[in-house]
Amino acid sequence: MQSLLDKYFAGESSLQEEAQLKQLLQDKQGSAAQQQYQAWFQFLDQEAEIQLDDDFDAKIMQKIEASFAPAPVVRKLQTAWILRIAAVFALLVAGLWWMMRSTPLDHPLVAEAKVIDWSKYEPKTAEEAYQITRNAFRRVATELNEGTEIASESVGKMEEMGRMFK
Amino acid sequence: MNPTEFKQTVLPLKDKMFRLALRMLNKREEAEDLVQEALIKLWQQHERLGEVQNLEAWVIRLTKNQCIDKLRGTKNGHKEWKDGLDQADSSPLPDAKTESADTMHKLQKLMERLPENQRLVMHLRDIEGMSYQEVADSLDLPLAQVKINLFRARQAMKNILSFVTPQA
Repeated sequence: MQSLLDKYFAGESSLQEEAQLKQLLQDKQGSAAQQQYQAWFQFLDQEAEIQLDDDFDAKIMQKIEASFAPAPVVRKLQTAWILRIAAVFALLVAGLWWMMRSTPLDHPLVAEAKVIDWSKYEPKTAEEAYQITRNAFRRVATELNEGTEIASESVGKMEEMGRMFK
Repeated sequence: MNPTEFKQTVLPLKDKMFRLALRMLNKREEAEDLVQEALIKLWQQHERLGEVQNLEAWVIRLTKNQCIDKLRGTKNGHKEWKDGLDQADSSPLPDAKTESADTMHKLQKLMERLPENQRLVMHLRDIEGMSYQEVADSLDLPLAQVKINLFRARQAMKNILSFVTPQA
């Protein structure tokens, strides 16, 4: 132990030797001089344990985070949505163009549409025109009634689903 | 470096910074304020922090320089700093032999009376457990100067220790 102490006070000891010396002084109850050194190493240990208060980290990080300007997220999101909409629009245009291209003007359906003689569907007399118009109104009235029933059924189903998800 | 990286790499050094500031300023509140200022200053340079080779030495050096600036800024501090540069006073403290006095407090006072360079070298080596090279890097001193300062500081402590520690 004495040689370690000599090395220590000569400023020639390594960190390992200093740790070993500290351990030896703690373990052994030596002479008065050694007890003085023991007090010295206790003092060093005590000084090494001094710390800032527990709330220091939170205080400093609050200041640091407040000064840190993150990337503008909202702007990024807006750009992303614009790009998505543009992509969908481009796909739609491309799809329509492809459909138009795949249905040429000389297609049998197009050719047939061209040769339809609409004059044969024209009413010949006022009575015939009256009957056609009346039938048309009657059909519209029937379908409107059916539509109202379907709509009220759908509303009923939606209310039921709403109650389920509540 | 973002706040999370700062918290993980720089903030763990806060207690070392604090102990060094306390060693130099001798006042807990002042030392705490100084560490806060130093950390904010470090954060202001967060874009460059990743490039620093030895972050710990750099942080310790910055803390030491901040303390010197603070001490120079006050009349008493300046005197304290100049006194520190003078030769160590090896005479025992007036109350060194008073048995009722607290040994740890006396040792602390004794260390305060060491010249600044010796005190800082001793602090970083004996309290923070740094290698000679780390001490040299932190204080921006040649390695040989670190060893000389440590030798002188330990010899001074050895000579005075018998006056301040309780006798068996």
